[in-house]
Amino acid sequence: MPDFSFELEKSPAENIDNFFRYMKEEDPEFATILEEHLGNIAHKLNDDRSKQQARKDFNNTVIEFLDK
Amino acid sequence: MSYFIKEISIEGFRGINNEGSPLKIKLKSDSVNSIFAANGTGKSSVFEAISYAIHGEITRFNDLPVGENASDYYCNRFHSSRTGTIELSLEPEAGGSLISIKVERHHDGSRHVSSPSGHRTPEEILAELAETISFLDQRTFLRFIEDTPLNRGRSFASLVGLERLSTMRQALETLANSRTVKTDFDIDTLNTKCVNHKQTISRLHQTISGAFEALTGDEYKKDDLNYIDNQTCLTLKSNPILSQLINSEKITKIDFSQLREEVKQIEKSEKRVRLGIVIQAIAALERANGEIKNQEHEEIITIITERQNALSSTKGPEFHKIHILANSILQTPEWTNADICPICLEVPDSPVRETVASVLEQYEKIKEYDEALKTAWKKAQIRLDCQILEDLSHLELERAARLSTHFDSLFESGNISETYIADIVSYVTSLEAKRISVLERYKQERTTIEAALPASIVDLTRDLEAAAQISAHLMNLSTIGEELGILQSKLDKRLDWQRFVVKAKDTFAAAEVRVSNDKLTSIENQYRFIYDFIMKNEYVIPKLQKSAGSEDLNLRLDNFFGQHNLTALTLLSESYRNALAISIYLAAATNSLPRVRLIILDDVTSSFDAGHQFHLMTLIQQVISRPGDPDGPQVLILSHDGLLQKYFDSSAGSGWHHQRLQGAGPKGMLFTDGFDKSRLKTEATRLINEGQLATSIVYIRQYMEYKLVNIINKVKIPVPLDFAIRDDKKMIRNCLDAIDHSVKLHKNANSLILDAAQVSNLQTTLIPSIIGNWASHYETGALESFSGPMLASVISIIDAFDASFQYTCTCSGGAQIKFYTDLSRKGCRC
Repeated sequence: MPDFSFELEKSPAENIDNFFRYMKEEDPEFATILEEHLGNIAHKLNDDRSKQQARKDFNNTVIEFLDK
Repeated sequence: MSYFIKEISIEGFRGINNEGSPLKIKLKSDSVNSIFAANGTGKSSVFEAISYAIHGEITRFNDLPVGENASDYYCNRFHSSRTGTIELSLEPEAGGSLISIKVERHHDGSRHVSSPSGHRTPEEILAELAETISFLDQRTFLRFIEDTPLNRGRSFASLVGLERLSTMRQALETLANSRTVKTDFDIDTLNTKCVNHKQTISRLHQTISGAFEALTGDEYKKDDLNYIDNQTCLTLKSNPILSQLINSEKITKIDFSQLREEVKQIEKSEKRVRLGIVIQAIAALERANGEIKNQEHEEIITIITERQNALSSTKGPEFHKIHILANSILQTPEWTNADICPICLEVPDSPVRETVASVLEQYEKIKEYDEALKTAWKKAQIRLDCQILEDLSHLELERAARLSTHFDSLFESGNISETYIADIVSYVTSLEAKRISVLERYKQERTTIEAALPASIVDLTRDLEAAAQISAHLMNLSTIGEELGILQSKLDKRLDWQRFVVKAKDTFAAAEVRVSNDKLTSIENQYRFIYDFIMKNEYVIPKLQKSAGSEDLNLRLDNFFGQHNLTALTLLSESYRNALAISIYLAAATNSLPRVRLIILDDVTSSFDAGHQFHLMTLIQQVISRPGDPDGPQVLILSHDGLLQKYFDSSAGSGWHHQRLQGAGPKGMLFTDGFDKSRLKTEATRLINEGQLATSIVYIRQYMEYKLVNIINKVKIPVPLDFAIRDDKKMIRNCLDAIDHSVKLHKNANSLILDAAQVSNLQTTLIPSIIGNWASHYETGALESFSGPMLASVISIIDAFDASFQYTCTCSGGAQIKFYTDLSRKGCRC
């Protein structure tokens, strides 16, 4: 896969969409999980306890998906 | 979608009470908007109200001391409902009808958003507005300049619209952290289980192989267990007695308990039964071969040695704690000089952050060794041997004498030395010696029994037990093989995820560094242009410098009067530093995506002298804002600076929309200067009647100021150059002096148009009364000497003073009160 880059003339939302599109070429299912749930951690970065809980919840979601 | 703000209405929020009559501020989308307000007349409350309506919080409240509840300070504390209401009237940039969004903040901290204009998604409209609005205040600039490079870098990312990328990258880093991935996904546990299962499978193959080859004389085929199953059964059935008892084709389908019982009934020999038991014991003892091989625990010893070396370079848990704390302190905005060590308060030779990070890294390394040690122990053959030997019933070990659980807890605690390994080896060696001894005893018994039994019976028993052993192990192999398949598949999937998320993190971070540097380069020319526009000093050229591979952003000087690459913080004066911050913010705001459509500046020029203030305002008017840049943002400037007020006044009209806030916050009413000025008088009179003299004084002063400035404007009285910028408390006196001086000048020149009664009243009653009843008290701050009647008379006096410059015009038939055109003539034929 070619290197991925963000583009200056695109908004952060567009750049992030492009990133997930790029990662979907690597693994569509993993990239979809990441896209759908990453925001849950992003919103809790300022509080370490909440962030770690969000991380555990996220990883449990991934485990559930992997083990199904 | 982007919007401009057409009107802001505020009631009961922060310093704006305005109970029953909201403060309404009209803005223009095609002009620079400015609002002047003296201290305490709600300027910052306007800024905070817009910020709260859009962002749902006042960010500076996040810094309140512990114990203070920010919620207590949002609503105006004198409004009877304790509810703040902010209404924004928005004009879509693409055209269309106005959208009204109402945000209410209740005293319990709740927030309610609605749309009086009937739009269904007011929250979404506010979110869109948030993407295209930039709030800039003095506090933000100061923090940006004086913050740590890390926090400055993060602020910058936010500023240039890269905050979301930075946030996402941090979220990815959280997910890709190797230690937490290992913990959350049980990677080590799964890995250990797989290794242990593989070891068990290997042992089973070894045991089956020996028994199979001894029984059948055939070669063991590891990969064809079906063949082993069939062939073992076939061999067993070659015995004449057993052939009558076995119906199955596969050894794993035979019930050996039943088969043994049937053989027992036929042979009726206790010795043969005992031989069977002895053979089973020998097989179990041989299977549990615990011969210690050095390489089994060499890996553990290596890790222990490396861990001890790492530990010796640290200085205990307290030293760790102090560095964790130092690291936290270095991240706080209060720690403004990153060169000073928070522990010793000195400037060490090596960079503080790097030194603290290096110490913390040493402790992190020890944690990694602890984890590696646990993993190595769980996988170690010696651990498995120890458990197998302890579980061997033939060794008859007391439960209390078993040590494997104790060893597990030692490794869990991480408190392991080489001595412990020697103890473990010694313990397992002693168990092994016991196994060999017990095995030898059984072998001797087997020899004795076999000598006493006919050879055919011995062969039958040996074959039967060998087959039973093969059968049990084949079944065991199948079960463990299946388990291993499940575990391995689970582990592989989780490792795939780990590889994926690490790649995602690395890809994202590399892309973010590139785009951040690109952004920096793209705004470099613009912030330098703005900085030069404000400061007009070509010998000082700033440069923002991003550290490679980190979020740090440093403020440097490319040129400082011929010297190069220096730290801006140490060389620039306060006004230069602020100009640099403003330049960066404005350049970033005008280059952000989505495009900023509204910039609100609150008191950003406090540290500037008049020249720099005017340069900045000119820049905003000509280069940054609409209509100077037709595609630029709407700009709202809030200021309490008297000098700037004059600039605003003089700029009003041509693409500049200026207003002044008047009234009394936070208890009374605030108005913009477009309102009916008689409301100042009405409000003052009401407050005097209610005995609220202190609040009424604010309105009286503003009413007087309005009346006097109005007279000066109407009758064209010349004022001195520094008229408006002298002490704020002497403004009334300045006006009186200017008027009195001008009246006297015209009187002496016999050109005064005022009638004799007006002149006499002015000079003998009104001016002395204003000075005596008001100015002398107000200027000295002796406000307690004001009484209600005295203040009421001041209002009457100022009205009479105003009337002294007016006459009754009858030109058009009826009587009309008019101001003189100037002090020497009327504007009509009267």
